[in-house]
Amino acid sequence: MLFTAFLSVLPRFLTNDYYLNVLIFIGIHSIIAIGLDLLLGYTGQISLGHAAFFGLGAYITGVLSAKVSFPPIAGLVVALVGVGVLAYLIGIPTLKLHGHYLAMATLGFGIIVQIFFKELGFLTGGPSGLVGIEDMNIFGYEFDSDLKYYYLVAVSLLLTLLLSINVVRSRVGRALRAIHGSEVASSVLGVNVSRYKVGIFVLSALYAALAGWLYSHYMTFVSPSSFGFMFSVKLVTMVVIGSLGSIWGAIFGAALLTSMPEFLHVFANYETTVFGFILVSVMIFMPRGLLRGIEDAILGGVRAVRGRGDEK
Amino acid sequence: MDSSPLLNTRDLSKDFGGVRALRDLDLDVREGLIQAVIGPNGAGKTTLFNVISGVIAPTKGSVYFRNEEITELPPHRIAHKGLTRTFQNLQLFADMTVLENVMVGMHHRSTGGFFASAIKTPWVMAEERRIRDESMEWLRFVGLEDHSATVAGSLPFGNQRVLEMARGLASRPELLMLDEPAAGLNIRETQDLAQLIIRIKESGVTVLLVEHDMELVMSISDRVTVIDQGHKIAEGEPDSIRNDEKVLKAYLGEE
Repeated sequence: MLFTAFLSVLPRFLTNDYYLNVLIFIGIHSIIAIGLDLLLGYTGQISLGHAAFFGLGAYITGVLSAKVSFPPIAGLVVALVGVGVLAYLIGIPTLKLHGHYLAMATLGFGIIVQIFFKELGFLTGGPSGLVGIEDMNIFGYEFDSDLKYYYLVAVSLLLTLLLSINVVRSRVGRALRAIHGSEVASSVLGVNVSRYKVGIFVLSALYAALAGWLYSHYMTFVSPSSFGFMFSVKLVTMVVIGSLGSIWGAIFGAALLTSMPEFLHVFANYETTVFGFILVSVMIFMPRGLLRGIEDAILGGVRAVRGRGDEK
Repeated sequence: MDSSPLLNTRDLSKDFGGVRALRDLDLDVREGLIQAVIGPNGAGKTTLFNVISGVIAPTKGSVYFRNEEITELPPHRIAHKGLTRTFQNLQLFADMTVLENVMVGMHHRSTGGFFASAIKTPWVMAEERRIRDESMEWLRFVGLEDHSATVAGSLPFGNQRVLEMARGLASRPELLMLDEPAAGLNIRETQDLAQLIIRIKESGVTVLLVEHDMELVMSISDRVTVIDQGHKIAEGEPDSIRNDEKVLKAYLGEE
């Protein structure tokens, strides 16, 4: 509720459209990060291929829009169904793997998908990208300004957030966290481990596809380089930096990693170095992630103050 | 007492490479009793548990639960049939609270799926309340109700063992298998554990127990099976086992 209010008044405090643009990207990245956190933070399964699902969402709706003038809303349906089915088929064999092997398998999947984006030139425009994607309109309503688009992204994010919080705080969420804690114990208590792993993998891929759809019709241009391995790693970093296993942490991490490069422009050539330094410091001093780190610091502070009060 | 067989194994064998952990083992567990499996280190007790609960597949032989074959079933299907277990090296969900651990135990007795949970149907909410209330009951049963909000990993060791049992009980098994429940417990905790196991039996749950603590085994078990090197060497009531020559030889020969 508070977050809804926050999102709805936020644009009023922005001095120019450029910041609105950053906010839109934060929103899009948050949606993917939330999904990845359900998979990585809650269930303990890594994916280094989520950029591919993001890209597939963007390309499916993009190609349909640019080549056969599909309306965006129909593109969304096709993107969700397509990515959902693909994630299911990919998930069944790969999620039998653990740890490094799962990381490698999802990494490989991501690379293969990116190659398809590059090589299927007649559909995707090849390495130089796909142009001519229509502006967003939903049942005739045009999202023709950044502000309108911001609200579309905000509503999508809120929906994702709400669904995710509900899932996490349910029997399903408990089963996912149980799998993270001990697969063997979950299974002897009746949890169908592989079904839940595949289920959450599909859900997180759907979030990424939704984000891809928003991205595609905002940019009206997509190219393979946006959906490569480095972006998958960046997504994982968002989740880890924000706080694994915390939905708010995922949003926090997405906001930080999306906006930080903008603030770091002042360091010019040293931008990447400073960025890396900040990431390393966070992991050293707040290994449970920024959000929990701040929480711990506040709780620690409160305890210290109380402790002093008791002594008197 | 009516003692129909609840669990049977026939010719159960398991090889690990050249090591034969189980050899043609026939085990019969009767309903309503506490049955213990004992044997020297490396006798195959934990392997037996792993095979019965579906965690590993046997090389040969079959497992029957209520005369129905469960040999090739995955663990979660076996759990649905009414058989669950604890682990010698604790397998708690360490980052979840004590109550949540027990709530996972009720997993297969509830049905809320991804979609219903995501949109929070009234039905799912009602089920959630039922899960929470009943899980609290199980915590009361084992005496952990005051720790319900504690993170499981930070409980004292003895309580963690008890929590694993509560979690198993929440799945309402007909057969609860306890893998060395007294390992690492002090005398006082072991006495409490004995009382708890007896109360579990009185509540109508059959208990199959692997244990090293002979005093505990002899004081609470109705039947004892002795295995050595994967073979069953003796079976009977505690008193007869205590004086069995083969058993004495297996134990003393080892030491």
